[in-house]
Amino acid sequence: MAIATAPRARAVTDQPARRGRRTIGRGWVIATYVGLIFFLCWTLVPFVWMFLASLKTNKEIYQEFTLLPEQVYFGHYISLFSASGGSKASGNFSRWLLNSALVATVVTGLSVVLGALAAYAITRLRFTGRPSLARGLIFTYLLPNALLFIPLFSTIARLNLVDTLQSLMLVYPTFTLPFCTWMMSSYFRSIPVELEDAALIDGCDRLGVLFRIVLPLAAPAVAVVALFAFTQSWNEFLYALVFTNSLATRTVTVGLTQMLGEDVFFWGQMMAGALITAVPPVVLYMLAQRLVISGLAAGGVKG
Amino acid sequence: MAEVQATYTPKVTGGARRSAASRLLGRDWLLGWLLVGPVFLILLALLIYPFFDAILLSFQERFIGQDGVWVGLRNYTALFAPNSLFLKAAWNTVAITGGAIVGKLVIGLAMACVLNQRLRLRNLWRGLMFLPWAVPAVVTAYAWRFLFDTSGPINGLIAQFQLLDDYIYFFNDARIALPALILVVIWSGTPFWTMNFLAGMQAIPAEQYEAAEIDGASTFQRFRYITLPSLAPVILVTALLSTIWTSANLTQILVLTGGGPNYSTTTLPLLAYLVAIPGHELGAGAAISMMMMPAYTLLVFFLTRQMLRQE
Repeated sequence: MAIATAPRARAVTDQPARRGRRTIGRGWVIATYVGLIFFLCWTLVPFVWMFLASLKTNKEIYQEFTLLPEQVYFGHYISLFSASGGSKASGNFSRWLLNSALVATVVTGLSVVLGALAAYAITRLRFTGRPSLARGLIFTYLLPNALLFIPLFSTIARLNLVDTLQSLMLVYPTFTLPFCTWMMSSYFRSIPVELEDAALIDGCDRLGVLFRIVLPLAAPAVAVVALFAFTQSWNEFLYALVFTNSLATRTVTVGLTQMLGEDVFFWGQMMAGALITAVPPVVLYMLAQRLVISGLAAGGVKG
Repeated sequence: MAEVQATYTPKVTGGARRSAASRLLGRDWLLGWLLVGPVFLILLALLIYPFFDAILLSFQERFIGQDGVWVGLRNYTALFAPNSLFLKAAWNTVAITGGAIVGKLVIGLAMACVLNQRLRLRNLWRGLMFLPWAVPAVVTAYAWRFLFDTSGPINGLIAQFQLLDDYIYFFNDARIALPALILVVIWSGTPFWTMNFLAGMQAIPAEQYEAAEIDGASTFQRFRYITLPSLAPVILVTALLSTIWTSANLTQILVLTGGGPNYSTTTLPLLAYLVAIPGHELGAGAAISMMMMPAYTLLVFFLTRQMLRQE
């Protein structure tokens, strides 16, 4: 998304050394390092605390105040996955993870395939309605889901899909597709059209061009778009909260919040669950970061 | 960078005469619409149709699982009744969004300045500082809810060192709940700003800084007269995007405060949710959503134009 707002930016790692900053005064250098330490603490303390708490015994969490766990305790992690853990998450947590993974995978597949087809048409083909379609994509991408979840819920109810994972697979593309399409079309635009012309003259048809030439060249963009779609679907909360209502159909983000409805907060378990939930997006994000730097910044970002 | 003409392709049809349809609908109309068809249909069925459905819904009294009854403007007039939560929620939305935007701008800019310097392991620091943006909103909300909890570290320290007579009940007191919530929103939203600012800073030509240096400009002057003006378009677009997303995002509020205490942290989207889903009144909830529509349409329209212009 950062890419969207700074289209003229060059690659993030581009020419850092040639910056004219080498003559900032000693005071500013110190300020920079103080700032760095401050911002690192500001960013990481909540995560670190979360991690430490997930390894503490209940006694340490609720009665004593300790900074570090006295001994590393994996009970909270174990109780998430065993039915006898005592909270709503116990025994259901693996189901929630599976639900999220399933929905995110299907949505990613849909978004990449349909997005690539539409993106190719938008960048390379000439037909009426193309410019307004491109504009409409940005418009729909920016419109927040909080505006439409109520009528969408009634649509889902009409389709008899309430409390199913299919409802989410159907609805999530509404926020992944506009971005994926747009992102891929701006990458496709950076691929020299002469390559395609050569193939067309040699007798390849349009779809052949797309699948044999454009998509292989756009592989980094496709990967980033797939990672994006997966992460967005995994992180989604509002639609999943509204469209599903039984413990068996919750996705992991909504499932986590089910633990807030209990009389006692199982903080250790909640922190452990939240950390596990955060792992896939963080791993994918690290993967995407490499790709964004090497791939998208080089091509898709160019206007 | 318009050297690549997006839609240019040579005539491979060997100069055959174009049919009437292709003259009217464009050269590649059939394949074009075939390819965009699925995306278009999904957006039509799940964004455009619900949009019009919402308009109709807002004029009905309709409970979940029942048929609607037309009630004219009643859902709308009820919003402005005495003691209505609507105006309170509207004000909360403005307060939370405004406070968060200012905070994210300042902290994001400072963070970007730090991360734009030549530092050891800079990419590692960048990666770490973007974490709050990468993880699900539910996770960040959980982390902070625990930090603010009576079992959390802040109250733990207070108890340990007897700093206060009692714990701070962050989310039980309206005067603390709102700023605490804004803090969390700032914390999780700042990386997005930092990222955009960094990208914007990389795009500023180094020559400008070199010229300023030769002219004897101080570090601060270079920031004030080169960096800041060059970032203006990025700041504008980021602020608009962030306004839309921050005001519409109800995940963190729902997890942290549930809108309480006494609705002091309930924003309009959250109110719409509370009325429509737990409250089962779809029509009344849709009316609240419709009231937000003009503002969002305006914002999105302006932003779309801005983004297309920059492209």
